Amino acid sequence: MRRETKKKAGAGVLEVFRETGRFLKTAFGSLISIEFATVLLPLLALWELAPRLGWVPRTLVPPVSRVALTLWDLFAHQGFIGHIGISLGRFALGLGVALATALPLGVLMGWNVFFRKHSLPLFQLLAPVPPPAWVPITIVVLGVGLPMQTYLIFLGAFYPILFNTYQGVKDTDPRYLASARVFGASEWTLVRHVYIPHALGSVVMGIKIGIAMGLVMLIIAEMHGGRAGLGYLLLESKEYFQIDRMVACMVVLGAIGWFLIEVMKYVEAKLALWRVGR
Amino acid sequence: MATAVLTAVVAVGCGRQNHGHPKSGPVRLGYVGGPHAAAVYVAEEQASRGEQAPAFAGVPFNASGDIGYALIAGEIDAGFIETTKAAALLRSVNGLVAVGAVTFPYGATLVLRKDLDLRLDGLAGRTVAVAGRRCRLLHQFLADTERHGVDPAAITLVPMPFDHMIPALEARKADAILTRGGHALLAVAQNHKILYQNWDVTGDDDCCPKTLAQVELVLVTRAKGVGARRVKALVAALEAGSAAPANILRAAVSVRTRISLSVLEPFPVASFTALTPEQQTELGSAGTVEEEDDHDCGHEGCNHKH
Amino acid sequence: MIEARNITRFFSVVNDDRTADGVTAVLSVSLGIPDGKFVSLVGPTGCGKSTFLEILAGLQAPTEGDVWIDGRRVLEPLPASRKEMDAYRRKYRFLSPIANSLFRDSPKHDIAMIFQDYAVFPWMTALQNVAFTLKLRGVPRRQREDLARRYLARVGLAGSETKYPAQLSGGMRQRLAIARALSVEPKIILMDEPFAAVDAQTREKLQEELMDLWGGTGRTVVLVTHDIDEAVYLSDEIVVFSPQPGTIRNRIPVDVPRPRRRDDPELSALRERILAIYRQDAEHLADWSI
Repeated sequence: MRRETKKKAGAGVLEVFRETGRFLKTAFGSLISIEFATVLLPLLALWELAPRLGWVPRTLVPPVSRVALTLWDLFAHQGFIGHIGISLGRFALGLGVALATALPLGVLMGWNVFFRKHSLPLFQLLAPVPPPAWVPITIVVLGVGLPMQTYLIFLGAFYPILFNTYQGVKDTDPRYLASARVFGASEWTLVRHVYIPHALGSVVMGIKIGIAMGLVMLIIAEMHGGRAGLGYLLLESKEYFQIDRMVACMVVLGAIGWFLIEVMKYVEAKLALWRVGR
Repeated sequence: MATAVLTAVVAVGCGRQNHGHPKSGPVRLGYVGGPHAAAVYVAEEQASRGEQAPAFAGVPFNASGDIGYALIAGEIDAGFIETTKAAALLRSVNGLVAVGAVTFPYGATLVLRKDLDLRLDGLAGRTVAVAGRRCRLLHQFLADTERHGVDPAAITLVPMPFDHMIPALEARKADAILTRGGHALLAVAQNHKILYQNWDVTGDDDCCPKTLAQVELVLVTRAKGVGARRVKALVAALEAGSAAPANILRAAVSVRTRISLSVLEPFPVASFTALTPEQQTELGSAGTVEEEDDHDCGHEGCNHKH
Repeated sequence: MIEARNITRFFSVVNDDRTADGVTAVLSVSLGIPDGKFVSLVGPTGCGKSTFLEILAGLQAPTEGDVWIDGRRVLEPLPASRKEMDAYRRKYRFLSPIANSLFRDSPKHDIAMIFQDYAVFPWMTALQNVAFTLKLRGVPRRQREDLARRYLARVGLAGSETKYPAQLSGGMRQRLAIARALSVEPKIILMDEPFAAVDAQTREKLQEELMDLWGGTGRTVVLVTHDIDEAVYLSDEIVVFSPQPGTIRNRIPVDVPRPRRRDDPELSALRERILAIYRQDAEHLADWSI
């Protein structure tokens, strides 16, 4: 019995590795291609040459090599990993809260008209306020610190996830509902087995948009009174005229955003298998 | 094809770099409004009254960080930038020169957050922002207030640069700040209270080197493209403005910033001086402003300033 | 026993140019279907037979009339007066009337339904689809998989348990729908043009398979179809609907013993008879429309 579970665990770990391998292949596959190289390499060369040849002022646009060196220096000597970890931790917290609230709310609103009529107008009124406009009020109410940053990231990610989930659940094909109901499905079973699987495509898209907005709000939140994290580094580099450091932060931020979206795209591809068929 | 488009965009972008700054006429001077701009206000008043021809055109900004970038981009010819940031700017960008400074007496002040109502002995358990644990300000403060019952062990000290102190106060990260004179005035202008003040402290430590202790803002300008003559005129105008009697300076600040005179009265006024070579080295400013040829005067004619 | 009393279904439709039209899909249909019989509802397109079937299943509420299955009413009719309308709205403001209970899976009646476009869940494999309906009927977990496999084998999908419906052909998907419906062993099976979307050969094969599966089980089947050949081949009784608004035109019993041959002259005669009814209805359309 124990050997069986051990074997299963071993097989499970192997499967995880294989999945990761597949994921990395799809993620980097589109980047590492000859076609993209023909565009990327000239751009990198241009970036390197333009400051050196004086086409753009050296101090405002550092050449690629300088940025690479700064990146290396940041990682090796200045605890960049720590800052990245802090930023990612905050982001995960805010995104987690957004997922935990927006997903159930969206499902609830899409499933039941009574609930929708009572709650949707409120969200439709609040959603158009651009999240950066919430910053002053949030600082007054929550101070400056982790609650404020979590709240701002939550705000950024909440509305896209909510509305996309709601839309996806609402648009469930009534034929599936009818066929399940005829066989006696309760509403709860319908939600679990019909509404949610049918809406998964929209939900994943909502999460992707939520991640993008959440990252934006992460940077904005960290710029206001943070003492660590990528946003704070970005602001400090700007205040002290260290443009190469700023660009290094931008590169890392772009990489993080790209990676998160790739993960979501992979999840989406896995879920869509039943749609397309091999 | 895409590369060609990008090159065109970049070229146009840099073409904007040295766009029409007139080589004659008033120097475009960027400043952040507030009590430290006293010399600017009075100089502008004097120019408008016809006592002097305008040597500069003031361009107000919201944050001194933007002044640095505007200077680099050529949108202004000179600007007042905070000391530490000016030092960073002069280090990383070539072609800039520091020519003057707004000074304010150093002094040590403990400013309490406006919503708190404490006395010195009530500071136990509170958070106080300091510039450094070995700062002379801190030592002076502790020495002066020992007999009032201030227990250094009971206070939480949070080190942070002077520039971050007032935002920390506003954001409630610190209950009180131990700051220098110039910043104390700004804090009081935002309705915080003073618990302790001592003007006899001079900076002479790692927190604040002696030469720069009293320098609040540095006047930075470009080495090329402005003209030594015009810069001299600018400095002279600001010095003249700064030489006005204290009550005139305070009145000008009060009118422009809407801070009431009763708040400004207890404090000294900011004054403007040219920088000593010692100070310039300390800041890392090398070189001088280049002379501009008379030939380069625009078709509007030259402003001859002597 | 299914008893439909005086079923009327009326829709009001708002056109693009803001005028309103009334559509009477089903008009005053009364039908009693005894247990164990195979009944076909035929009629020209748009005569309301699908709507009638949905009313039988409890997926639509009739404007007037009741459906009683084994003595229990299926759905109350839509309210007529304003006061009744307000009371109806209040009663169903949280959950729609066609919904089952909130948390417990319990079919209101022992019905299974097969839809025209299969309506099998594409996010579940074939096996999971059948197991799902079994779960809804309360079959314990251990038995579910075996039962599902057995029924899939009976409809000929033995090797396709782990395939998703997207990977199955149209005919296989329809077989899956049949397996799903039969696996719960219901008393009544309702079918809404189940073989309309497959080609002729597959259709004939599926019809024969359906006969094999149904024969001798004592289940009631109500089949809606526009294919008269199918109706005469499969059913014990054919109910002919008139064109819109749908009323019952005729009820024709089919007394040919099973197994039937498709080229049986009796069946052909019946076919001709029904076609004649159609033709007459088409010519005298004006007499029927309201």
